[in-house]
Formats: sequence, C-alpha cells, structure tokens
Amino acid sequence: MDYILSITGHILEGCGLTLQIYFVTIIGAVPLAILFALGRTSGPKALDRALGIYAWIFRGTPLLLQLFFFYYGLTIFGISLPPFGAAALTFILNYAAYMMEIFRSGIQSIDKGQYEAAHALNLSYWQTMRRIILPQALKRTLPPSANEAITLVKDTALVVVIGMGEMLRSAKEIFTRDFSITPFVIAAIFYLLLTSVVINVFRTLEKKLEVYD
Amino acid sequence: MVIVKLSNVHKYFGDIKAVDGVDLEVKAGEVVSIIGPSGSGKSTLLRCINQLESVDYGRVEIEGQAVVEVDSSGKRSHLDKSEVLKAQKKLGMVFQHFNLFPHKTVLENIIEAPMLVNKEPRKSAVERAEKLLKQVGLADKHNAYPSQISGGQKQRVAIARTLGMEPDILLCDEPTSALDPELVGEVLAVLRDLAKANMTMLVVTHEMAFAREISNRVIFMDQGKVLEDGSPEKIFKTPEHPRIRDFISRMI
Repeated sequence: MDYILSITGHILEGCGLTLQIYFVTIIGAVPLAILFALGRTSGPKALDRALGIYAWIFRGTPLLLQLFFFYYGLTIFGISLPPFGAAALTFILNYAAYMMEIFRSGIQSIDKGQYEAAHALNLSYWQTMRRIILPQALKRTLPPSANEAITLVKDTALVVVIGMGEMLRSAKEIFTRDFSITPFVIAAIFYLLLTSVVINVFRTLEKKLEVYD
Repeated sequence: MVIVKLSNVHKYFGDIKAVDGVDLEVKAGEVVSIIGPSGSGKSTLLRCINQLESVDYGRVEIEGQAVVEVDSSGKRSHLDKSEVLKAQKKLGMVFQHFNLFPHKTVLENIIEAPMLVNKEPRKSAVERAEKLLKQVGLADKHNAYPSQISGGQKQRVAIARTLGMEPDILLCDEPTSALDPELVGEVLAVLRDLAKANMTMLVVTHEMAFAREISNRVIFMDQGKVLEDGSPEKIFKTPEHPRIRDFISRMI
C-alpha cells in the first residue's frame, strides 16, 4: 500500500504538467478556432483559402511531427522555444485547426433567417455573431468538441518526446526502476478520471442548453 | 410624409428579373398590400427595401434619406453610412418563418435589439416588452422558448419583437403563409389592430380578404412589375388588367 501511495505521488507530479498543457491548449485554441471559423465563413476569400491551407497542414501531418518541428525544427531559424512553449504552441495550433472546422460547420448550419432577423433588427455583424449565431452554433458543436477535448487529454502524453515529464513519463520511469506494471495501471486510472471529468462537463453543458429545443 | 420611396428598382437573379423597374411610395399611416402570383417578385421587392437583397439598379429612400442608389452601369453611390443606418432603423420586418432566436426566451427575443442596438437599460426594455406582449395577447408567455409555443404565437412574438425597435413602417413578408389555417386568424387580428392604430404597413400577402379589408392601397405585381396600384375596391372589383381578374377569381 505504501508502495502504491509513493508511486501515485510521483505520477501525480506528472499529472500537474498534463493538466497545464491541457488547459493552456483549451484556453488558447478555442478562441483562436472561433476567430478562424468566423474568418472562414465571413472573411474575404483569400483569408478563407489561407485558413484552408493551415487546416490542411495541421490536420494532415502527425501531431508528433509538429511537436518535433516547433521544438527542434525552429532552431534552424534561430528560434529556440523552451519545451513548454513549444508544446503549448504546437497543441494550440493543432487543436485550433480541428476546432476551427468544427465551429465552421456549426456556424454554417445556422438558418439564414437568423441572420436576416438580426439584420432587420439592426444588429451589427459582431452583435449578430456574439449574441445570435455563435451561441447556437457552439451548442450544436458540443458533441464533436467533446471528442476533441477527450483526445487532447491523451495527446498530452506526446510531450515526452521533447523531454517533458508528464504523467505517462512518470509512470514509465517507475516501471523502468521497479519493473512493475502498477504505475501504468495507476496512470490509466488517472487518464480515465480526467476523461470522465471532461465527459461530465460536456454532458452537463448539453443538458443545460437542452432547454430551448 | 413619405416613409418609403422606391424609384425604378431592379433586382436580377441571373437572367431572371425578379424586380423589374418598380416605382412605389408608401406614406405615413398607409396600409399597402402587395398581391400577385408566386414568383412575381413581391417578397424580393420587400427585401430590397431593407437591403436583405442588394438592389442591382435604382434607388431606395427612407424618409427622404437615400439608402441605396445604383446607376445603370451598376455603380453604387457612396452614402453616409451612419445616415443610412439611422434610416434603416425606421424599418421593421416580419418574416414568413418568424425567425425568432430559438436560444432566447420570448422576452429575451424582444429586449435583445433595444438593449444591444439602442443601449436601452434592461429595466425599461423589459417594461416595454411586457407591454408589447400584452398587446399581442401573450403576456403569459414571456418565459417560454420559441420551441414551446405555436406558430401563430411565434409570429405574434416576432411582431412584438419588431415593434420593440419602434419602427415607422412594418414590412410584412407573407406573415401568415407558414401557419396552419386555424392559426392565421390570431396573427391577422394583431396586424388589423396595428393598422387601426395607424401603423404604416407594407404587407406581402396571399390573404385576399385581409388585403381587401385592411389596406388603403393594393398593389398587384406580376413578373417583377407593378401591374396595377389602386384602392382595394378598384383592384378587387374592377381591375383593368385581365391577369388580375384571373388571379383574383382563382384566389377567392
């Protein structure tokens, strides 16, 4: 029992970093994705095309490769980011690409009558988006957004490749030291706990927003 | 006072001339109905007035202020944006499909624009909204969501929402066409009360009896053109154009 408690403590330390990357990514990627989605749906054609290329690159290459690029690759251009900065930048850009496309689909699914009513009531573009279109669009995109939010919990494990000590690495270190699978089981439980929280947050949000339809 | 003035307005969809050189004036206090076969450009004409459709050629004025002016080469005049916005605020529009905001309650639907656009304090916006809801007979529904009320009630809320912005003219685009027959009456009753209260209205409708009863003028449109513009008596009893006679005999 003491053994389990001691290695749990070590794994929990790694969990702190996992959570940091998780929240930094969410806080950075969601607003960025909303802005990008608005750019794609109501910006000039050139912007739409540029964002299309951005999504093509970030969705079309491995997240692992992107992580290598921002950590090691940028040094060629004389830019060297600390591991956390490189990880945050990679995750934000990668997840914003997926979320942008999810939000775009949500925005485009809103009936054009909503825009017309807002126009007829003299709401400005930003008022229309902020108060009328986005609240409805974001509600519709909760299920696919939940998928992304769950995937992100697990993707944080990738930062080991740039030498960061997140949860899975803590578990691996103990495994190497003690040759016991217990740390992996504990890490798995932690991942399950984290994803359960995410699932519940989304379930609550969906329930709360159900009132109007 | 002339509220809306259209001069030689054209609107094309590809090769189709949806609106083909229409002149029209609506004066304060007038109730004008636009009737005609489907596809005759009635709704498009209405939508050209508040820029839901961009005019291809012609001029639209609201209370003397030009809001669109396009010459024959398609060149748009540069108009003072803030003046145009001010003029547009005098227009209210009621849609065929209501277009209520589904994520907002009935009350929130009404107070949204006054608070957001006119920066009206919430308290006074709510007070006015409650009054408007009473006026359309829905005082008990202010906390309902649009999905929880009937089509007729939705359209009455939509009318109250439009009135919340205190427009000088109400543009109604087939306000009862999407309703079950038994719900048409309650919406027409609200519009009738507004007409009696001297609200200026321009109504695209298929309700012939209603057009005849509440309008000062009836406009008959066909293939993007105004075929006849006259009193309801004249249009319904002794129209000059045989097409109008045909249409009316089929509708009644």
